[in-house]
Amino acid sequence: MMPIDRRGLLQRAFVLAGATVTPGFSIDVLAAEVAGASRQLDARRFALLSALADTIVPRTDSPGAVDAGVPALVDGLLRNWASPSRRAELIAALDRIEGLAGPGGASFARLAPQVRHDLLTTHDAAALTPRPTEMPAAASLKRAPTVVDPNYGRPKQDPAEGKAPASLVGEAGGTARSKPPAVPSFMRGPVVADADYAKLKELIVVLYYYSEPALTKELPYEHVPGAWQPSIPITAETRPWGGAGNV
Amino acid sequence: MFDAIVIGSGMSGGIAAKELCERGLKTLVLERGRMLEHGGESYTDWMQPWELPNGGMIPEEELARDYPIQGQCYACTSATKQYWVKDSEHPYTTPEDKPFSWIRGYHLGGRSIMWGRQSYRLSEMDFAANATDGHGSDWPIRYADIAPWYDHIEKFIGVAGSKEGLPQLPDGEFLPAFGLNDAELMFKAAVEKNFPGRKVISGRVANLSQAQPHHEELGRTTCQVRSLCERGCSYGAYHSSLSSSLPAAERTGNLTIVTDAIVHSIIHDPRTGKVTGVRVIDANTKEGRTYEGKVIFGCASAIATAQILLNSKSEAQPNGLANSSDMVGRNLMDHVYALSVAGLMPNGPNTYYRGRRPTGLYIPRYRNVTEPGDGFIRGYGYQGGVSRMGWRNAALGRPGVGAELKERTRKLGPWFAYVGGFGEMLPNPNNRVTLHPSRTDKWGVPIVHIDCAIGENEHNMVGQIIADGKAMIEAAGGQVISTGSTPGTPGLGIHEMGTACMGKDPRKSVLNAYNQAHDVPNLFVTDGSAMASSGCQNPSLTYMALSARAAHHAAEFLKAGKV
Repeated sequence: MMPIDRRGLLQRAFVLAGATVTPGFSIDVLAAEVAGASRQLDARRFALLSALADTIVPRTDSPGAVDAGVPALVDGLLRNWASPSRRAELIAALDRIEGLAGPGGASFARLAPQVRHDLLTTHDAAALTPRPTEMPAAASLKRAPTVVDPNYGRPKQDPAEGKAPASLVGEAGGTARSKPPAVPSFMRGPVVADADYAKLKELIVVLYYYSEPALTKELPYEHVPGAWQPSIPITAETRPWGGAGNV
Repeated sequence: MFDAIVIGSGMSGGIAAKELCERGLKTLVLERGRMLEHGGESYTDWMQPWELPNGGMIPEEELARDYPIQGQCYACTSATKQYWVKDSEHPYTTPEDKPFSWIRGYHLGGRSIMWGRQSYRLSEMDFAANATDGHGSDWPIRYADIAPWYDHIEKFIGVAGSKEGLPQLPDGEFLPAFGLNDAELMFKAAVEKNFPGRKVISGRVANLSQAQPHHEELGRTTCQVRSLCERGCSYGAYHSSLSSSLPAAERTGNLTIVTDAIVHSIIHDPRTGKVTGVRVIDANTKEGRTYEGKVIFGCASAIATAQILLNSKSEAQPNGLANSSDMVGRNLMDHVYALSVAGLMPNGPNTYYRGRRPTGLYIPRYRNVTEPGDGFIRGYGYQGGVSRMGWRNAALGRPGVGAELKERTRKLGPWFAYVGGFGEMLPNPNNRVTLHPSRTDKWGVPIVHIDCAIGENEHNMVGQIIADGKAMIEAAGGQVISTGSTPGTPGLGIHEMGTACMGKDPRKSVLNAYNQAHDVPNLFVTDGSAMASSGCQNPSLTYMALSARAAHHAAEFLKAGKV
């Protein structure tokens, strides 16, 4: 999106991580993830999921998705949370990653981290491209059931996972349609080129940011804040509060 | 024989039981659901984000099978599903073209465990509304009759709020308000400058911003600003039956609680014209039994109370108990809901906040108060807030992976303003709960049929709710990014009320000024059923005030031998 920024970020990651320009685990580490526990996914797909999670949220100066055990968590969701159709959709989205190196190319999990990053960046941008042409037919789109947030005075800026925040979704025919794709994710909801990839990415990202490593080393989280401070100054170190729900 | 039987242990039943017990009445509370204990196993407020089962999500097949209605509620998650009924076990019907989402919790404490805690008084304008415009039954009380009971309840439950001097939203006995953040103060200043007569205030909420000695006596402590309320609060920092009203009732030594007791009907003695007891079905064994009491309080919630009264028909009361007016089950109301406007405030202050405040901002009603309504009577208020967009949006709001994704998620998000309207719904006798002619639940009780839709006046509010929301966000320098202009399915406001309305005229209402059935002197109904109009304010505080007031009068009547 912004090459200059990205280069700057990567340079910083290089300095902080100190190893490779693009952070990422080696195939050996990813393979080790596979061993042991009984999985929903077979070993090949689990390695692929691990490589995907590692590419989306790599270890930098803080733990990444593999450090946080996200692949096993996603596998657990496939087994315990996903309906059969959802499971098939997510696995299909995962399988589409496998072939990113093209016909005859290496398995995604076996690619070097930098190659994985570049391939996935392209795939991610295409998969998350809004599909404005479908907006007028929004009613026919697969929509989650209405999500109610009586709100009781507190904004739910982040939709609950798996649910389209009905009260916040731009409506076909409303003002939202005439706007360019806006910043917030809820404006897009399922209306992207590859909704199943979007869901898979969301699960990986959300499980990472819910994880103990992320909430101790990446974003600040206080389970018991103890007091409400309506105004605090921002410093160079200030990061957004992490946690589930209302943050 | 009990002095009093209270049907239901939720918001209204808990307070009714406390007030009756404190007046020396041996009181039985009947709860159809299971026993829960404050701080017991059902509470999940200890769960860290990484401990949430399935990341907080209920398994999809289970959600579709057991919680298709309850799952529509924002607070129904894998950490709270123990508090919602399984729709698969508790069916009801609606006309195909009139869905109604009945959100329920069957356990000791009812929905007082998961409630949103917003606590607002109705005003003189609200109690006079039916008389003024002719809709519904004229309230048999006015603000002055209930004001001391609002004081009493606010003090007991603890309500954080600010005094504002607004006639349409009377002040109360408040604990310190949870303050507005800097962006909300900016929003407030802009709204109040550009729209004289409108106010932006801190949401009044039944969380102990500062626990008082009488709260601490019950084991309740100051709110820790976690916003995990709907998982049950081990600090007892928000009012619930489990943490607050039932313990207060219990310490009198006058309370008996029986759970798993589904009320089938209330027994009426045609010779005396009074009710004598309650028939219950054991939820587990399905055995029937009867409890006798001198006075009976209906606190089962609006739809369930109507169900019980209708199912208590007898030769003497063939239309259902206390239903000579034919108003039992009618005038079902909720609030017009889910109408919202959201925008970004790029000019927001360069500050942040700490803690997860258990409330937001509130904009009291101004339409048909200080500004006219465009084609409708009554009005609406807004709940909302301005907060920084969180990590989820930063991480997922646009494409990108890798170190860049992490880096951008470390940056503070833009200020995001959100207001959601709550509109008053007029009482309409055609919005109605009846008993299904043939279907019964697994305990043999006729299920309810709910036939309810928002009406013309409510539809006429929608445009102005959205337009005003946009105008206010834009006045504060915000850029509107989304609107939700389709009213939510009725029921989703979770403010159902009106099905046994209070009124002056026994031919047109069910309850008198003391929440006493016109037809049955020792029967009182103090849950949402009693509401003759809905106001646009969250109604629980009013249910509690009416419950306390009715308990006081019932005890007086008993003492005087009048019931």
